[in-house]
Amino acid sequence: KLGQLFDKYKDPDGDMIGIDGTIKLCQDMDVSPEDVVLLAIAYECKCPGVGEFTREGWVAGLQSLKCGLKRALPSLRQRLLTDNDYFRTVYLATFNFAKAPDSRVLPLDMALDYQRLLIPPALGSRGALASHSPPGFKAEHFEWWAEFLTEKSGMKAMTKDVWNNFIDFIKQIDAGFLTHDLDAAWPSVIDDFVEFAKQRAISG
Amino acid sequence: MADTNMIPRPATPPQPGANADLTTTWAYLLHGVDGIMTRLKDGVSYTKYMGLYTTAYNYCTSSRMHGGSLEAIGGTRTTGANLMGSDLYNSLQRYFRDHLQSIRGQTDSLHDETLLQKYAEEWNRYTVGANYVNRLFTYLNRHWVKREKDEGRKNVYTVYTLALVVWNEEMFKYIQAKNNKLANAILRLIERQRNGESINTGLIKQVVGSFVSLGLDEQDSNRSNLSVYESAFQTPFLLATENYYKAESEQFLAENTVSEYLKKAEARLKEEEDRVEMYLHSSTRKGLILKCEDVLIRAHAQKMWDDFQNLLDFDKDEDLQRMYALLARIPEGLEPLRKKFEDHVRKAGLAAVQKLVGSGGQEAADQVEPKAYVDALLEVHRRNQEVVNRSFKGEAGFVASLDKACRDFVNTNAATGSNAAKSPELLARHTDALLRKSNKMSEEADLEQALNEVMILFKYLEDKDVFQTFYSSKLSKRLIHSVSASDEAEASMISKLKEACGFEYTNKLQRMFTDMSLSKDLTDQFKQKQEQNHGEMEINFSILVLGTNFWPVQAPKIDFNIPADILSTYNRFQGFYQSKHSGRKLTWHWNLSRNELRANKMNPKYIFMTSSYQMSVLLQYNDNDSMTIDELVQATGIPKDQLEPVMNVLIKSKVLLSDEKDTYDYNPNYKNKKIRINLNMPVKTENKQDTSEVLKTVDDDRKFVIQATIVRVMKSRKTMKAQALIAEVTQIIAARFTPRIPDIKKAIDTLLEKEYIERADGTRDTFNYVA
Repeated sequence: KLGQLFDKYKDPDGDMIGIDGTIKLCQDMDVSPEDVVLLAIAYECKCPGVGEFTREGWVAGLQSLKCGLKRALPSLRQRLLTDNDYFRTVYLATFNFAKAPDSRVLPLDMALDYQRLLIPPALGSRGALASHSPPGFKAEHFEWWAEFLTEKSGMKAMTKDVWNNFIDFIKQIDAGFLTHDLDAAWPSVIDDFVEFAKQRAISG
Repeated sequence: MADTNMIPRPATPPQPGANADLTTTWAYLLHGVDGIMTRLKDGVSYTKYMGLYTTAYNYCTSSRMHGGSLEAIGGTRTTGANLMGSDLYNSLQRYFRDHLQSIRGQTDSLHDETLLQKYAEEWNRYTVGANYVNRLFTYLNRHWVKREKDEGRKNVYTVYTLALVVWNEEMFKYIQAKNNKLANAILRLIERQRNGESINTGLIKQVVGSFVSLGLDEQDSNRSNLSVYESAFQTPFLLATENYYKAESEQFLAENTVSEYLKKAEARLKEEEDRVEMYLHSSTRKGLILKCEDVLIRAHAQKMWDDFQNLLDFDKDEDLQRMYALLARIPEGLEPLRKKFEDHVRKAGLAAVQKLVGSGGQEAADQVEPKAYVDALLEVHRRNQEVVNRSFKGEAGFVASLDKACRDFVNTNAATGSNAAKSPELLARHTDALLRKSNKMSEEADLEQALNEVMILFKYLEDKDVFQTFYSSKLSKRLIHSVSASDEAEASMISKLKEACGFEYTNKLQRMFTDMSLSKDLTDQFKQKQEQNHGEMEINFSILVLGTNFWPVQAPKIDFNIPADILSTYNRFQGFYQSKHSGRKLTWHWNLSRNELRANKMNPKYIFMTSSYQMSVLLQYNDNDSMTIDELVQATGIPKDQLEPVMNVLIKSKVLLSDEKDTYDYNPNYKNKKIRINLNMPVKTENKQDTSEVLKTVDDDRKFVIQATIVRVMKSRKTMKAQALIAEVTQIIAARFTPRIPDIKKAIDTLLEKEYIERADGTRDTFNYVA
C-alpha cells in the first residue's frame, strides 16, 4: 500500500520521488512546501536531498509514522518543535540534507533560511530550544544573528561546526549575552557574534 | 718588711704512711691542695707534688676498712677502694666549697668593670689551680670516679669538673643572684662600646669564656653545653641588642635621611659581626645577626622601599648598592625593589620614546627615524643594565625585572601606538641601514658592536616574525642591488639570528646567499660559453637566479617588450639555462634589473645607470627624436600609470624634454658635470607600500604557522581539550610572535572545516585529530 502511494508521486523516468512529486505531495497533504514539518518528514524518510525520496526510505519512513501521512503531520510538527532530542536530531540531519552532496558547507543564505524555519518556532517557553529561565535567546536575537552573519561577518557559507554548535549556544546564553565564555571552544564566529550582540543589547 | 702582708701558713704536716687513715691523709692533702689553689705562684716542688700524688694514690688503693666515721655517698659498697675514693672525693668537694665561700664576699662591694676584673682574676686562678689538682687526683678520676659514673651515678664528676660545678654553685650563682650582677656588668660594658667608648674587650672575653665553661651536659658531664652562657648571657644580650638598636634606629631615622641610615645600618651590622669574632661565642652569631637584621632592616624596610625611587631618580649608585645589600639580607626585602625597578625602567623607556616623538601625534610617530628610535631604546637598556650589574650585583630577579620592562616598552610605546609591527619594522630598518655600504662605519668592530646591540632589542621583540619578514625583504634588496656593506657582516648577523631563533628562522635568509653565489658561477659559465660560441659579447651581462620560495620579490604583471638590443642575450641565456636545468621556469623581474647605457650620440658619451624601464624608454630614442606617451606605452609594453613616474624622472634629469603635454623629446643639448649619471632612484612612496606589503605577508604567514602548529600538536596528542591546545600552540609560537586567541580559534574553525580535526563525540571543548 505504501509502495502504491510512492508510485503515485514518483518520477516517471526513475524509481525516485523528485521535486515535482514532492510539490504534488505537499498539495495533497495541504501543507506549504516551506512548512518546517517537511524537515521532520525528510529525516524520517532519510531523504538524500531537498525534494528527493527513495522508495526504501519512503516505505521505512511512513511505517514509522504508524498512521496516514496527512493525519500524522500535526503531532509530528508538535514533536519536532517541543521534543528536545528529536529537534536536535532533525536539526543536525537538516545540514546534511540541505547541502550539496559534494560540498562541506552550506551557502549562508540557505543556512539562514533553514535555521529561520527551525529555530524561532522552537524558542518558546515550552519549545525544544527553551533555555533555563529566565529565557535568554529570543526570536529577535535570531534576527541579530542573521544580520550579523550577512552584514558584518564576511562569511559566505556556514560550516557544519557552526551549524551544530549554534543551537547549543542558544540554549545556554543569557539575554544580555554576558555569560558567554570566551575560553570555551565555541566557533570563533559565535564569539564575534556575542561581541556584536552585547553592543546591540546595551544600545537597545 | 717584705713579708708583713703574708698570711701565716700552717706548718706542713708530715707525709702519711701507706696505710694512713683519712684524717691523717686528708690533713696532708689539704695542705697541698690549698697551696696549689691559693699560692700556686709560690711553686710546688717536684718532691712535694710526688708526695701528694703518692698519698692520694696510696689512700685509694688501700683495701683496709676504716671505722664507721665514713660518709657514704649512697648505695652498698662492696670493696674498700670504693669507700676510699668516696672519702677523698667528698673532702675535695667540701674544700672547694669552703674555699669559694671564703673569697666570694670580696665581690660584694664591686660593680661593673671592677667586678668583672675581680671575677676574671679569681676565675683564672681557680681554674689553673683546679687543673693541677685534677692531675694530682688522676688515680681517683680514673678509677673511683669512672666506676661511679659507669654505674650510672649522677652528680659525680672528675675533679676538674667538680671544681667547675662548685664554682657555678658557690661563686657564679652567688654573684648572679644579685640581680644578674655579672651579666649586667657585661651588657653595660658592651653598651658603652656601642656608644663609641673603648673598653677592655679581653675582660669580657674571659668572663664570657667562664660562662661557656660552666655549661655542663646533664646527661654526660664530660660534655659541655652552652646552657649557662645562653641563659645567663645570650638571652639578655639579644634583648639588650634589640632595645638598643630599636631606639637608635628610630631616633637616627627621625633626624637623618634614609641614605645616611643605610650607611649607619651597614656599619652597625659589620660591628656586630666583629663583636662575635672578638669576644663572644660563635654560636651567638646567627641569633645576633638575625636580631639586628630584624631591628635594623625589617623594621625600616618600608622606609627604604619608599626611598628607592628617589635613589634611582638621582642615580645614587652607592646608596642603591647599600640598600640592595641590606634588603637582600631579609627574604622579603627585594621583591618590592624589583617591582619598583621594573616600573622605573618601563617609564624611562616610554619617556625616551615619547621625547623622540614629541607632541606631534600620529604623524610624528610614523616618521620616527629608525636609528634615533633604536638608540633611544638602547640607551635606556644600557643605563639600567648597568644599574643591575653595579648596584644589584646582577641578581637574577632584577635581571628579570629589567627584561620584563624592556619587553614592554620595546614593543609598545609612543612610536608604535597599538601597531605591534612597528618596533620590529624600525629595528629591521635600522639593521638594514647598518648593513648597507652607506653605513658610515669606519671600523668592522664598530659594525659588529652595532649588530650586537640590535640583538639586545631583538631579544625583546614579541613579533619576531615581523622582523624576519622585513629583514628578508631588506636583505633581498641589499643583495639584488649590490649595496651590502660586507659578506662577513651579513653572515655574522644571520648567525646571531640563528642562534637566537633557530635554524628555521634563518633558513630562507641563508638560501638567499646560496642563490647569490650560484648566480655568480652561472654568470661566469654563461660568459665563457658566449665567448666560445659568439666571440666577445657586445653586452656585459650578469644574472641573479633567485629561488621563488626564498625571495620576497614579486614579478610585475606586465607584458614588457624586451628591447631588441638585449633580446638576443635574453634568448641565449634562456637556452643556456634550460640546457643546464631543464624544466625550471625563469620569471624575469624587469622591475628589479639595472642597466648601464652609453649615450653614443651625446658628447661627451655619458653613461646612464638606469632601471630596465628607463632603458626601454631611452632605447626608443635611438630611432626617434620625439614620442608621445601612447607611442611609448605601445613600444615598451609598460602600462601608462607605471610609465608616467618613469618619464617624470627622465624629464626631471633633463635627459628628455617635454614641451608639450604627453610628448617627450630627445635632448641633444644634455649637459652634466659627471660622466656617470644615476637615473635609477627609488621612488619616494616605496617605503609605505613596502610596509603594508610586508605586513600582509606576515599576516598570511601567521595563519599558516598557526594552522600548521595546531595540526602538529594534534597529530602527536590525538585528543586535546581546547584550552590546553590553545595554551600549547601559544607557547610554541611565542618564540616567533604572540598569537591572538581569536586567530587561533579561527584556525581551529578552518581545520574543523577541512576535517583535519573534529570535535570529540558529545563534547564541545575536546578535539580529535583526524588521521
